[in-house]
Amino acid sequence: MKEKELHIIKKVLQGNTREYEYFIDRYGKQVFTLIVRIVTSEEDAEELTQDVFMKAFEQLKTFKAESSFSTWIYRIAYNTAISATRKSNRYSLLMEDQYLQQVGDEEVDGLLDSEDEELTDKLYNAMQKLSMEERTLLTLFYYEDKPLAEVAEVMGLTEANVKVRLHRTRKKLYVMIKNETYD
Amino acid sequence: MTDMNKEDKALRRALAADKRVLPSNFTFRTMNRIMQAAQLREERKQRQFTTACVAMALVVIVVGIGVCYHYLGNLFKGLLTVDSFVSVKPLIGLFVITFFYTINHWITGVCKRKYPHLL
Repeated sequence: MKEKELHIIKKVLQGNTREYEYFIDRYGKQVFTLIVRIVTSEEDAEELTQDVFMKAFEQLKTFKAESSFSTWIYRIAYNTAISATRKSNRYSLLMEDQYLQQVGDEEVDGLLDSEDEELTDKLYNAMQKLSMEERTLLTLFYYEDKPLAEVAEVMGLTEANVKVRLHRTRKKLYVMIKNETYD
Repeated sequence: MTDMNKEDKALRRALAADKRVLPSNFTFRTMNRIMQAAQLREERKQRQFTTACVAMALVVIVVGIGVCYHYLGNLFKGLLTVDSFVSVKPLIGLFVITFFYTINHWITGVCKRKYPHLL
């Protein structure tokens, strides 16, 4: 796959712009999924997804193939969405670290691994109260099934830092569900 | 710290519950925007190349005239004297003219091959 993508990039850089369609078809949905969870508005997300592909096209010659194209475009998507969201200064629920430390891992595991269908809506609503970084973490790790190393690369963090943040976010969700502060 | 590779089924279900999708014509609209951007970029590149060619040609002309004046100015002034015909300076002048003529010929060739529509 990597070889095929490198070959397409080479062709696009040689002036065969039509070949770029491959990347929009292949990664458009994934980029949109990430952005829509950060910015929440569907219209804004669509506009930003287009901007991401424009930026990637303009910066294509800077792509060094040190990471996969997918990681590279996710990184552009994440930065674009974060910049757009910072302007709107969206509210997110803050929680003290000390408070989260009191929550046991087993309880969190039990709740988040539950088969209870009613919990889905509650968790969905609770996720809307998380910060954009936390929603990005969950989307990349749980929805896109990206490994920790790739999540870290996209978000510009260390792998250890991603682990800690994921751990905190799971606890935060647990607390919101238990205290019913998700609506 | 818990194992991050565990299922977390409820969390995955909640994430999958978000059904917002891109419209079907997204690729078409984005490609239109990209094609327009590519066309603008190409036009800008061609304008820059043309400007560079014109600037280069002007430099070659100005330097050529200067060099000719430097080496052949006295020759024209002293055309009536016999000594000037046996001097080596005109040979240098001819060499310089040939040199610039070759450069000019080469640049024109490159322009004709790469950007025939601009000429």
